[in-house]
Amino acid sequence: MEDKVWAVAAIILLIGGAVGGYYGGTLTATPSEESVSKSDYDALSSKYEALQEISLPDVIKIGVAYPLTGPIAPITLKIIKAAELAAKFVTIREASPGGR
Amino acid sequence: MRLIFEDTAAEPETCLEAVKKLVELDGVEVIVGPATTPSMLAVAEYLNRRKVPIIAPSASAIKISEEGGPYLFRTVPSDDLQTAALADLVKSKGWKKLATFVLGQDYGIGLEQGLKENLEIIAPEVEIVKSVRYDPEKMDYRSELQLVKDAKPEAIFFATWVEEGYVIFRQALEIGLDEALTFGGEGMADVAFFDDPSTAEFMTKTNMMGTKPASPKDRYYYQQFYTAYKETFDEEPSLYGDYMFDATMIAIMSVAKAGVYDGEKIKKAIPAVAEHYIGATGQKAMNENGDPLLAKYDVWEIVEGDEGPEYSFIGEWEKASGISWK
Repeated sequence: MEDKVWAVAAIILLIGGAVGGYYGGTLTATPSEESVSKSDYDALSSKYEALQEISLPDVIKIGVAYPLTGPIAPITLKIIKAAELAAKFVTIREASPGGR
Repeated sequence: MRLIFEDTAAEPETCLEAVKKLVELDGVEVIVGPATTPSMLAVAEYLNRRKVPIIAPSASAIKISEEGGPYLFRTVPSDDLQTAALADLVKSKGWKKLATFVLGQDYGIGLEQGLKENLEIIAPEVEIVKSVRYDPEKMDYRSELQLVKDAKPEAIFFATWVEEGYVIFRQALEIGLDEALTFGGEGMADVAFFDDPSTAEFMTKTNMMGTKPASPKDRYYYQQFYTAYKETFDEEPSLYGDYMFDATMIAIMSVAKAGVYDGEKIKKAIPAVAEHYIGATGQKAMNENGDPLLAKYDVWEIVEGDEGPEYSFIGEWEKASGISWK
C-alpha cells in the first residue's frame, strides 16, 4: 500500500462501537433497533472493532455549514456541539509503518 | 480528521458562499448542514454540479425531496411524515374548524400544504376557515391575526421560528386571540419561546400541542449520545443536536467506506452506511430521495409546571400505527 498516500488506519469507536450500530456492511442482515440488546450489541461491537482496519484517506475533512451568527445562532451554536461530539467519538489510529 | 466550520447565518445567499468556500478553498468533499430549507435549496444546484454531498440535520421541508437532487441527504425526516402526524392529531382531537398561520417560506408553506393534503385524505370534514402566510420581515401581524380571530377557528396551526414567534404571540395575546386552541410542528417545540413572558402566556393559555421528531430516549444508542453530550458540555442536548450527531457520524463513516476522499464516491457510500447505521435518532436507512425511511414523532403539549411552562410528552406517532397516547 502506498504509505504516503494512504494511511492504514483503524477507526476506534470509543463508546461501545459507535453510538449507533454500524456494522461495516459485514453482516448479512441489519439488526433491528428493537432486536439488539446491550449484550448483543457489545458482542457485535467487538467483532466490528476487529473488522475496522481499513484504508483511509490521509485527510478527512468534514465541512459544517451552519449558522454561527444571526437570529437563530443561540440555538444552532448548541446544535453544532453535537458535530464536535461525533468527531470526538471517532479516533483514527495509524497502523504500524508499512501497513498491517 | 478536521471539522471545518463556516457560518451560514441562516441566510441562503450566505450559505451558498459558505459552501463554496468549504469546497473551493478548504477542499471539503462532504458537508454537514445547513440549518434551514431555503439554505439547503440554495446550495443544491452548486453541490450537485460539484458532486459534493451534504447531509442536513434540521432542514425538513418536503420541497427538498422534490427538488434537492442526488447529492442532498438528510438525517431529519421530511415534513411529509410530520404533516401526516399533525393531521392525525387534528383528527384525534376532533377539531372541525382550523386556521393556519405559517411562515411564508418553503418550511411554513410545506407544512401548511402537507397538513391540508393529509386532512383531505383522513378527515375531509375538517374546514380550513383562514390561512395566513406571514412575511417574516414585516414584524407586525395584528391585521392578519385579526382575520384569523374573525374566522372563529377551533384550533390554529402555527409554523414560526422563535424570533417572529415572540412578536406574533405577543400580538395575538393583545388582540384576544387566545380562545382557540393552538398546535404546531417541531419549530414550536423550543423552550426559547418561554423566555418571553407574553409568548409563554399565549402558548400556555391556548394549550398549544404539536409534534416533533422523536429521539428513542429509552434506547441504548440515544442514551450513549445523551450521556456523552451531557458529560462533555454540561448541558442538555438541544432540539436537532442528536440529528446533527448522526449526520456527522454518517459523513465520517461514509468517507471511511468510500476509502478515498472524493465527493462522488462518498455520495455513493452514504446510503450504504445509513442502511446499517443505528444512531442517536434511531435507524437511518434512506429512501431514494436521501430521506430517512422511518421516523417517529413525539406528541407534546405545553403545561404549567412548577417552574413555569414546560413541554410535556403525551404520545408518540408512527406511520403504521398513528398516535399512541401515553
